[in-house]
Amino acid sequence: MHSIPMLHPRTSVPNPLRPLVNRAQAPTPLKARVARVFASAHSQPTGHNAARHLLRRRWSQSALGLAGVLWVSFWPELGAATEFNTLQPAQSTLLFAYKQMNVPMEGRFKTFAAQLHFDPAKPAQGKAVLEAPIASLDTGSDEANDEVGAAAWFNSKKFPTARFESTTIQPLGGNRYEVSGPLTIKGHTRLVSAPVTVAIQGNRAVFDGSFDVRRADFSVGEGTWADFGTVANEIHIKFHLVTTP
Amino acid sequence: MTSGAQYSANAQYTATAKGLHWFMALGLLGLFSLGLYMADLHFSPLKLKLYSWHKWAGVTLFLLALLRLFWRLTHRPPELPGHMTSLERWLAHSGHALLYVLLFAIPLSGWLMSSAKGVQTVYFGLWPIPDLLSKDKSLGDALHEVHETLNWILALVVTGHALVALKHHFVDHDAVLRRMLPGTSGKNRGY
Repeated sequence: MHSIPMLHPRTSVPNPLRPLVNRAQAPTPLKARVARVFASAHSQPTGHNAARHLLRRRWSQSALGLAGVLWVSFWPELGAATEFNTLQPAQSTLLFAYKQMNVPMEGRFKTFAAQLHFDPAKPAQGKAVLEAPIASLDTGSDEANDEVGAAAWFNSKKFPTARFESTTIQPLGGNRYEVSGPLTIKGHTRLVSAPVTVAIQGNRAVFDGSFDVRRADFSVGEGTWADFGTVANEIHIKFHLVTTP
Repeated sequence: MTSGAQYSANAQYTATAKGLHWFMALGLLGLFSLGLYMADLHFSPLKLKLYSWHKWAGVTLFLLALLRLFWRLTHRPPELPGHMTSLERWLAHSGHALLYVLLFAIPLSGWLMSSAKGVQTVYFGLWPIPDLLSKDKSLGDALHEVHETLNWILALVVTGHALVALKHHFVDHDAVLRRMLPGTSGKNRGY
């Protein structure tokens, strides 16, 4: 798990993400304790009594917390497994669907990059950063492609890239996970989450998922295009990511 | 004027045939003009709206063409005037057949073009019409040419159709034009 510096306790302060991750994994008693410690250490009680109580508790908890950090940081090495970190662009797709005059349209990003870290043994500790250049956006029609970089749409000169970064990965049971994190388009950031299905196929891990965004949340389509009667507000984003170790 | 055995100057088209004829004439003129106008517009919400309206109207005219063909096959039209030569008769029948072919071929080419360009036709924004082709840019561009060319052929044939109708009225002084005019009674006006 050394390839996830952002989440690694040895290279950063304990991340608030960690307790969520551990809790969600139906933890062992020790892990549960570690999780509780972190959860309480990061909770924000209000009022004088709560503050004093927290101060008293912090001393006793910090030792336990440190132990937890050390334990968690060494624990991943116990189960050495294959990590799927390399995106196979030719086999992967990033599509979006929308309605134009109530006509279903499909577009895609012709190119996109992903930094992925996924260990099937520790799925919730995975990480995904996706970046898609607006210039590679294919709306499904030539005319719209000529227009899509304009200020009213994506203003690609000023905001050339759409970016998603996962902050939490919660198991939903089986091979399904809820991946959440900020999505930034045209300078606007919104928290999005998507259910993702992971399929391990030999030396490949395939991630499939989709989620909805509203273009108005990102000021995509301004001025005369702001009317949802022509181009609908709802945009359905669908990804199929094929990765290898 | 010669009265052929089956020709009657009193014979009229049915009100349904007249209604379909003139409604579709206006519709085709409107759609043709709209098509020329919208194709050169800069990409805008208006352009998307006009394209959709053009398609909805095209589907409507296609359905009316079906009705019209059914009506034509079940209702014998008035006979051609007896003074027409066999060449003129052949030209008249060929011209009318070509008009019918175009009434179907043009909306079909538009439908195929929409499919190939990846923009499905959703009638009145409510009823999706199945795509006959999958998305294919070069095929879409080719069908665009076909749709445009067929329309120019239609414009030519319709112009000829109208000129010949006027020739019947003003030169031959027969009832060919009058019997298609709305509201014209079956009375012989003396031609």
